[in-house]
Amino acid sequence: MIAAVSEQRNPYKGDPPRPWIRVQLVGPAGNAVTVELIADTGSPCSVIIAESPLLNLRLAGATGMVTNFGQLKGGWLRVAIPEIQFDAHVIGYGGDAVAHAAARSDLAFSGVGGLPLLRLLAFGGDNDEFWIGDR
Amino acid sequence: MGVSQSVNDEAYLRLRAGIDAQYPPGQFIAIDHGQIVDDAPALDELLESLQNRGLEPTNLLVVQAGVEPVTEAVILLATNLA
Repeated sequence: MIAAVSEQRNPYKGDPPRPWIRVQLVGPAGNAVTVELIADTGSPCSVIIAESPLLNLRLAGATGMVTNFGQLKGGWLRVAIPEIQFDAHVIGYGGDAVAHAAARSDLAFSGVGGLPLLRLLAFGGDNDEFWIGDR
Repeated sequence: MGVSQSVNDEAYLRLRAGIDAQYPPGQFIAIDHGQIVDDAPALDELLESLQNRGLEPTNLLVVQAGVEPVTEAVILLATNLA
């Protein structure tokens, strides 16, 4: 018997077309917010969203970061992707300039999901779509 | 950045070598007002302990022993400016 493959497949979206993932950010009170993040293996940050949601959703403080987009605030985030049974704590960052740049491609994008998050998953892409799966 | 966050960030730079030497790799460490106030092997466990002690985790700095923080980065995220 072949086990069912858990994955999330998303057609490229935006201008320019971007690979993206859909995740839940679960706040301190268990409140979950679903966001779409550009998948960027070149980003050294697990998650970057705007500063206000980062501060609302973070479970604890984390070190910030200086970037070419300015100073980013840090915080521990709980990231869940139910369809692939993924649930983990990662350090996320809040930066309005990054979130704004992501939304320039498509208004649905709330930020960026980078390599530290993607490497906790299986991921890949083809001509039509980007996908993530459980490892 | 609030004063408390700044104090904790600066304290972490000062305490980091000792944290890495004293705690097992991956241990979660909470820093408040420049001092280590708690630690636990899992973040959930640390958050529960802090809350039981009346400390608000979002006002603290939480780091992991043996994990080098990324403090500077270049984010590419090229966009069409036309």
